[in-house]
Amino acid sequence: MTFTETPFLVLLAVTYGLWLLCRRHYRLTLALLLASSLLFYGYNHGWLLLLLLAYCVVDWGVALWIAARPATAKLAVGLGVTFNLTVLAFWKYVPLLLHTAAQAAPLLHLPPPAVPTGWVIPFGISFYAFTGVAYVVDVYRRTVPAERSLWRYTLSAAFFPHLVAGPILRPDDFLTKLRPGAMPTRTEAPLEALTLLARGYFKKAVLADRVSLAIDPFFSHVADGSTAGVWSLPYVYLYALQIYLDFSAYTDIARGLGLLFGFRWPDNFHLPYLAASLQDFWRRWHVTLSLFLKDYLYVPLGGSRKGEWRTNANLLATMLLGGLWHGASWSFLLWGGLHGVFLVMHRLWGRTALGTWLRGRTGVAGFVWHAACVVLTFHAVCLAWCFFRLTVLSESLACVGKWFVFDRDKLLVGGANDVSLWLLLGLYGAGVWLAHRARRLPVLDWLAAPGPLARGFAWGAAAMLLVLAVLLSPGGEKPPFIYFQF
Amino acid sequence: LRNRHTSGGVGLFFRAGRRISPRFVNPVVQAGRLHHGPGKAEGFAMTDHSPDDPRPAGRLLFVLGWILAVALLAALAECFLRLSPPTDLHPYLGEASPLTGSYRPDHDFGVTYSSWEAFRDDNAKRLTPYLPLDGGADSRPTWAFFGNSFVQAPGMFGDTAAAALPDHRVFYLGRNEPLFVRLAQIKLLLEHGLAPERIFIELMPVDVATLGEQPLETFRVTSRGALTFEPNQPPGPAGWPVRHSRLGLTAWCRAGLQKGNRHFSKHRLYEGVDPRLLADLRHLFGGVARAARDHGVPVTVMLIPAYHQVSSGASFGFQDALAPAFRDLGLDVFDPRAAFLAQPDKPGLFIPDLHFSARGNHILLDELLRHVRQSTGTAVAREP
Repeated sequence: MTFTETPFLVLLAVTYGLWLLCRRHYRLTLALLLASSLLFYGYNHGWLLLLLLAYCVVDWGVALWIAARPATAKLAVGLGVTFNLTVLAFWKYVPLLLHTAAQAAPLLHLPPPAVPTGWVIPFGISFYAFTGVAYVVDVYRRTVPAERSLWRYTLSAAFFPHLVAGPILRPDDFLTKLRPGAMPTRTEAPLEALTLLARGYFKKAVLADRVSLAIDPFFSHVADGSTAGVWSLPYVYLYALQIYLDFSAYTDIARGLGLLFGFRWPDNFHLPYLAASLQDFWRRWHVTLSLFLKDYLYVPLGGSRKGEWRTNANLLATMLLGGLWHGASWSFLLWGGLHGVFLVMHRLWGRTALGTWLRGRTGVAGFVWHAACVVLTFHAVCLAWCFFRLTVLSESLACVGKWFVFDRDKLLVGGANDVSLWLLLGLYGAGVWLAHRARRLPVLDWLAAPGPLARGFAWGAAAMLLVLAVLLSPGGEKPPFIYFQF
Repeated sequence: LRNRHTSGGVGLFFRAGRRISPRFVNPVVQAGRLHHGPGKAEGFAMTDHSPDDPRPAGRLLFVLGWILAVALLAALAECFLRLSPPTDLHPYLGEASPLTGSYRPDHDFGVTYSSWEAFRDDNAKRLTPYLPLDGGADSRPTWAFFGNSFVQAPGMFGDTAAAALPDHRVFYLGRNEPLFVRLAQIKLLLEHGLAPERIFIELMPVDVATLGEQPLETFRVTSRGALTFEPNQPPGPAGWPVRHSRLGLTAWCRAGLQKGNRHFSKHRLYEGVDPRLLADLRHLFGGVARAARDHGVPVTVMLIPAYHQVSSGASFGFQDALAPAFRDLGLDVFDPRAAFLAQPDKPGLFIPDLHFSARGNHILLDELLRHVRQSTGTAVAREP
């Protein structure tokens, strides 16, 4: 089930309606949210529930073991983390390894292994495996107590708004709020909830899906003759926008749903393409994953405490594993590796005299340098996206090659020449900009002032945005959320 | 009052203002920001305010603000939809539709090709091997097949018949056109020299789905040759937004209310044929019967069974309703359901996409040949 399917909307309406009725009865509320979450996850593939429940039972049991027997806590946490990562690796990487082995076998004069067909990677497994790792490690570090109730822990891991594509929640973000007395009994910030839902659905249905329709034909044929001479950069820009709009839309909807049931969760995106460095980018893009990788991988590896070269190696290793987390393809490893290399380069550049001098500029010079950094960072990210979008290396390289080698009469052709698409993206961008600047613009300052007129405007805008998410969508088949595959 | 306005979060409709005292800021939000980000939340983050304001003026202002936002966004959306209507709206925009085509209105079939040249250019690749249409030096009799992908797709019935009947010239255009276009093609081809020994028109429930939703009377061919449909509209003043606003029309269409025959359901086609659809089919096939009679060519309508009818026990109401109607028009009707239902391995008659397998196609051909041999009295369509 996905957020854009009719069965989900029915499930949400029924769950929310029942929640309003039973929210003051703790056990009923717990049972309702858990049942809805399991129905959400098992709707299309019932057997996936067994996997999800196995994860929950093991992580819950390991945490209790850690709490009950501190002497063997290290062994327990090791087993818990190993279980989470091994099962994740099995489902995600076995086909890749077999496929690679099948390709390499003839070179080594070995019989190729059978490559399974129709392998289904359980959707959301990366997210709930990481949630489990975070929980077990946090219990081991004694930053959270072990949860006694299996039901509460299962709900914290499986609650349907965040289950499939995050945000990746720490125990403090969610689990502790499920305890008796802490469980919300009213909708938190209904206007914000409605706006997040409306914005999320609008970004997904109207913007991301429209971009997808415009660029998918190009990327499907990027290495063949039908796209010869076409400038690929506009398509890469559009893909960068698509993945941002798509993923941030999912996060918006998840956070909006969380607020509906009274839970406030962290945001995952902070205008990432305005980052002035790769380091800054990772503070703004998929923030909960960045923090997870930092706290549970980079810091345990030694972080920046063990000298310059070890720091750089840690950065590289963290990004490589972060890339591999995304999917069963070597191109994701390349994507992560590129980000790692860029981060190391940024660190090294920051230590040069010129880098330090430029960073200290203020006024017009400082603004120009900052703008140049934003443009450079965006293009570095776009370069890496080529390896993320195209999982065949020759296609990725062909796409990068078409940044520089193209026919002058094919600068903007095909889907990249869709004026209405750029107009729509421009209008949305202008709307976001105005939303940020309203307080500083005399004409719009009434919107930023407390008062019924502004409140009415906010409610009206949110409601209408939700309606427009349906009416302005391109129609036809709806592409799934990109991050559902991870 | 100030506390109430700010207690739920930060700022107002738009993002936080730094001037707000931290003591009014929701500690949950504060904590979230401290832990999870640099405090640059995206636009539209806002406070939670109840829409209720105890003062009448406050409520009025609230409603005014609400209407202002809705009107502003609606106006922007209307402009956008006029500039770039979504593809599912194109068939309902009439002359404003960006669709183009090579059709003109036709009394018999709703639409036909604007000219023979338009038809010939549209089918140039498949038509060329059949030219001249009367066969020229090829003295073999021509059997002309018209139908959906069960006939036209590679490896399907057209290919099967061509391979199995070397003593016949098997004519089929290899394209899956809407039913009314297929029938218009027959008339056009007969008028331009095609002289088949027999015409075969394959028909299945799936072929009539479009016509069921959009009856012939809703067909509108634009000046650019595209087929569009007159959308069903609500009566009276309620129809104004649908007629004059793209936003209204989009909402109407996406709710599925634009269809010309709202009583029609393609999911009930196995059970029977809607009366309005039946009337349209009689009209269309009446046009074919007249054209074939004028050229002295017999026509056989092949009512072949669908997967669900053969394998899942779905009803044959579709065939039962159409067979007598077509016979009334003087057309020959071929209904091979018995041969398919008698097969022990029914799933083996189909491939995964539910088209006939090679075995299914051969059974169909054998039954058709037997039927043609037996139907001695239907040499040419009779006068109804």
